[in-house]
Amino acid sequence: MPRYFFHVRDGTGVAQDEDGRELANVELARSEALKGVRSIISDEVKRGLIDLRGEVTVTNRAGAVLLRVRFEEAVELRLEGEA
Amino acid sequence: MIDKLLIKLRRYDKISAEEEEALRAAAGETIRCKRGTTVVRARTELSFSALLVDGLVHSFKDMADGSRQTVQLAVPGDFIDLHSFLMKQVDHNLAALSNCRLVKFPHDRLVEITRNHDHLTRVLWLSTVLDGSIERETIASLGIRSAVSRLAHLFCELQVRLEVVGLASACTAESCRYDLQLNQEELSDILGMTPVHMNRMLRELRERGLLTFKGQIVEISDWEGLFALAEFDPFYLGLRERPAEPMSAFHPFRTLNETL
Repeated sequence: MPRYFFHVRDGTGVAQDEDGRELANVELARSEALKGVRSIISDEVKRGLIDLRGEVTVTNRAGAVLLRVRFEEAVELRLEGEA
Repeated sequence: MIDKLLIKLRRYDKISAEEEEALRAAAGETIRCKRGTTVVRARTELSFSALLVDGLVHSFKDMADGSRQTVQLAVPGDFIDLHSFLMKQVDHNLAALSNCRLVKFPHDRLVEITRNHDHLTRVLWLSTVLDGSIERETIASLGIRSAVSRLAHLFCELQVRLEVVGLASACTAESCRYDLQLNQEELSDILGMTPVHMNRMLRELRERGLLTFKGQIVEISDWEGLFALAEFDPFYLGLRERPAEPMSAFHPFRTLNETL
């Protein structure tokens, strides 16, 4: 199975993934990236913060970027007064 | 073979030479398990309990969709399933997180211990009670600690549990360290966190100068800071002071005579 590396950039800096994870395909990598972002945001919400400035970049062993998931894309915001 | 068990039990209460002999006599064959294998399956009839002497084992519950949650982590010196002696069939699976060695304790030999050594029986009972204590702390952690604090708490707990059996150095003014045969993904599974989140939390611990986890080595550079972040109090581990040793981070719990 291919190995995917999930690097997280947010307002405070970058966390490089040195181990990577074996996943069946890039669609699964995308779904794991989304889960990761949601997990980060949900933890911060408990402290009263929703910081959507950031992105997970998924690369392969060679370092080529396969996909990006921006924090903003991972959640849907609904506010009073919107349709 | 069972030395780590004895060292650990002696942190709970006095173990006499006869009791030590009884435990050695109850120990059966040693088995090896490869990383990833299921060591005990839920709902199967069990005739022995296993003592972990090398490696890491976890108990977990899993859901129909394949997701799983670690509910207990065993380190060398721990019985992975002493409660199976009483339950006969357990409600969870146990798997090797690394290559392991286990010593079997056939249930009929444990029955002999309960017949002939009442104090030792109480000590073994205490060790299963303390498994529950660790699980309560895990529940609290999963329920209310923030992600970084939960991660810090696990690193603190492992430091103490491994130090008891000589697998971690004591935390002094210098850094303390231990080997942890897990990768980040496995660690994140144990904590109920996604690996992406885990990576970020490790970065935070590193940047705060508290801890690094690299190459399967945990290096705690500021144990007081880490303990404070985790709100870690080792009281729930039920350990007692070693006699004739200076006060450490552990609370005195009882005197060192036989109290059970």
